[in-house]
Amino acid sequence: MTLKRIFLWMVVALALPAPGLAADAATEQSLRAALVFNFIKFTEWPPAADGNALLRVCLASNDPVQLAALDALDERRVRGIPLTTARFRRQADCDVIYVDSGQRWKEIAEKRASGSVLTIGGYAGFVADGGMVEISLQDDKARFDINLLEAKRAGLRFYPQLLRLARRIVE
Amino acid sequence: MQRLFAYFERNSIRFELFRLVVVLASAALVISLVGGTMFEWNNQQKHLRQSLATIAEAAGTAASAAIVFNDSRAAKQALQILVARKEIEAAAFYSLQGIRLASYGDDAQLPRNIDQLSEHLPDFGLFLSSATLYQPIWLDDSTIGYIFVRASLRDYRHGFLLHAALAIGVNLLGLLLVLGFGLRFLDNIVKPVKELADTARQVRRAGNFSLRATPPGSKAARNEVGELIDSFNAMLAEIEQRERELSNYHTSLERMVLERTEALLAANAELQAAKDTAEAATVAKSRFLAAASHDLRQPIQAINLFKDALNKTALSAEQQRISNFLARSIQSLGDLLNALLDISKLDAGAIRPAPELLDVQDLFGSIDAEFSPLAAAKSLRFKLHFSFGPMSLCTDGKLLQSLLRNLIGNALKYTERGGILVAIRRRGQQALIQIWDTGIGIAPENLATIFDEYFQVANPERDKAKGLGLGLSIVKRLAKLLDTEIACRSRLGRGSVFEFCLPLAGHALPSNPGPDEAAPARAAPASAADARHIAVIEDDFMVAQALQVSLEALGMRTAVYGSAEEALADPGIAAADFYISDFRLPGASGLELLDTIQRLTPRRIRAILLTGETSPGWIEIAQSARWPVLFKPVELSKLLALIEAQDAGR
Repeated sequence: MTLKRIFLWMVVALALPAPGLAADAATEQSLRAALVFNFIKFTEWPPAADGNALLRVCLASNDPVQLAALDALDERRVRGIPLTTARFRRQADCDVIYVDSGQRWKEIAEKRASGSVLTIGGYAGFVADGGMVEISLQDDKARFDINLLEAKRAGLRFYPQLLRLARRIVE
Repeated sequence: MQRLFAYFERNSIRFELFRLVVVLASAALVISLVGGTMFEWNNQQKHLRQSLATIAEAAGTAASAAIVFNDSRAAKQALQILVARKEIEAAAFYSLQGIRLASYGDDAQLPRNIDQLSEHLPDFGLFLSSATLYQPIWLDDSTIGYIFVRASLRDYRHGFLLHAALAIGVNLLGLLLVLGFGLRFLDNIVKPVKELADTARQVRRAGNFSLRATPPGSKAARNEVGELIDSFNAMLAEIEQRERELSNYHTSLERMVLERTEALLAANAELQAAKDTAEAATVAKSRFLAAASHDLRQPIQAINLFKDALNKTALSAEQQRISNFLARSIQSLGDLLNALLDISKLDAGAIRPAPELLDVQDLFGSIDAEFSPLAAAKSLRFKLHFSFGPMSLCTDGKLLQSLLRNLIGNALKYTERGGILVAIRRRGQQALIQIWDTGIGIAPENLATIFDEYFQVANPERDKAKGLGLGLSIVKRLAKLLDTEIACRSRLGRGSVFEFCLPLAGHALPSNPGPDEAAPARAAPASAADARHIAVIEDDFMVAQALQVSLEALGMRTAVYGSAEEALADPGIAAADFYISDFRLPGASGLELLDTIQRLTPRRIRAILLTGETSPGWIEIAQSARWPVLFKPVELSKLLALIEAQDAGR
């Protein structure tokens, strides 16, 4: 460790005020929400009967901070199609499902029917559980794994640019 | 170089045409060059923009997820496709907020953030080292970030300059080709024209019409210039021909003139010789005549003496008659000799005038003594008129007497009825001498020749009895010696007057009035009478002359008319102060004439009628007339008294 490097660290520590726990959590959740939104951007749904007039995002989480962050996606548009956010009730009402724990994913997966639903998970091991996109935050840096097999099965297509960014791709 | 200057002589047709070709070709090539360059410029710029925009878009698309997920490493990787483009020096992705995500190449050439930049495509500039592109990156239909690219323009500029250089080279080559071909074609036109001009100049300078312009080759001969040369040559040929003819003609003309001149000179010389001979002959003749007449005079004098001697002897009547004839023949011979002698003496210049003071009264006395008897012998009146005052002439008396003798002799010779009047009057410093006669007169066509030798009026057969015709030719010579000239006026059948002027001698001598019948007239007051203008209408010439001379001697002005017709032809007739008219005039009576004149003027005219009639009828008419009538012969004093009486009565 050289003197220069120590100096750099000191500059970074001074420049960024030490965030509190709550503020830290909110930042993390907004980052997750932004990631969810970006995944929707780079995903292509098969043409639907209703013409994909609406993209319904279902949230399967009890974390109020997380819910609030994800709710902020409501009314935003992807390729001109407005998003709506709601608490998960049944799969049929969803185009996107965000799951924050393995417990809840198991409940959802048991009742899962075939359909073009993008599944995004916020916990480690989601891809292994049969989820499509697994978000992992390391050192405030977003990483994600993609289960291409599940996505193909559901009839979804990811943009190749997204795939290039993925840490791991399951095929 | 010198040859090139000669080739393109200024103002020559070749220079003009060449200039035209150069200007046109240059203009065309410059337009093509500028157009091509602009097109290439545009092309380069378009290519630059297309190529950079395409690769920027490709990089953006490739990096879209990286940008969205804020993945700098991935974004940087995506930028690596720009390696394919060597001209790209630097490039970078920026987030929507303008923060640089990833860069490529030299960081120093990139803006740290792009808040101030607006989207733009690269512009091509000859003096720019690089061009920049700044455009958004799209994902589907929304902007996710920006890309900035800086590209070196070196290759583009090289490409453009190479193209421009090539274009200039090609254009210059084209210009050279145009000039080369142009000059070749120019020569087709210029050479014949130049040939024509040169030939024309040589012809003009040398005046040599045998020169000919060389016709151009067969190809050019068919055009107008060839035709022009042919025509020019034909013209030259014609001029040459004409000039030759003219020259021949000129030569012959000169020869002719020379011949004529020589002939003329010869003729002149002959003429001069002839003239000299003639003059010499004339002089010789005159001398001969003078000598001969002198020598002839001696035997004639002898004959005359013998005749006198013969007359003193007892002669029978028949012998006496022959002797008389002989005397007359001798007289004629003597006259002839005298005349011949006079002419020859005059022609020979042997006589010089000797002016002297000559008293007119003496002169007229001797004339009266000499000619009165001769006139009386022919029953002619012979009157002399001269002023009563003393009058002297300055002239040669002998020559003047000879002249008068000739003129009066002629007058007597040609007058059968009437009379002769010799008058002398003052005319300023000169005296006018007139010899009037009522003889046969001279026709107007003869007036010019009467002074020639041997001219005789009405005597073409040369009647010797009437003289030799030498009189007037002597008169002419005498007048010339006296420095005067004889004028002659005449009316055929009515008479003639010969007159001439001679200088008066100095001032008049004191008056010496003599007792004579003219005294009352002279005593008449002159002042009133002086201005009088008296018209005399009288058909008898002598009476009219006598009246005129008498009245003018009293200082009156007179106009004499021979008939009523003549009087009325004068426009001033009505203005006369007094009229003296004969009663019996040719064609009309004097009374009728006076009545006619009275009608021409409002004032009462004053007049006297003269008549020679004495019959009772005439006396009655005269008494009924408005004007006094006098019966001839009338005395001057009575006439003047009547004029004065009428003047007083007005």
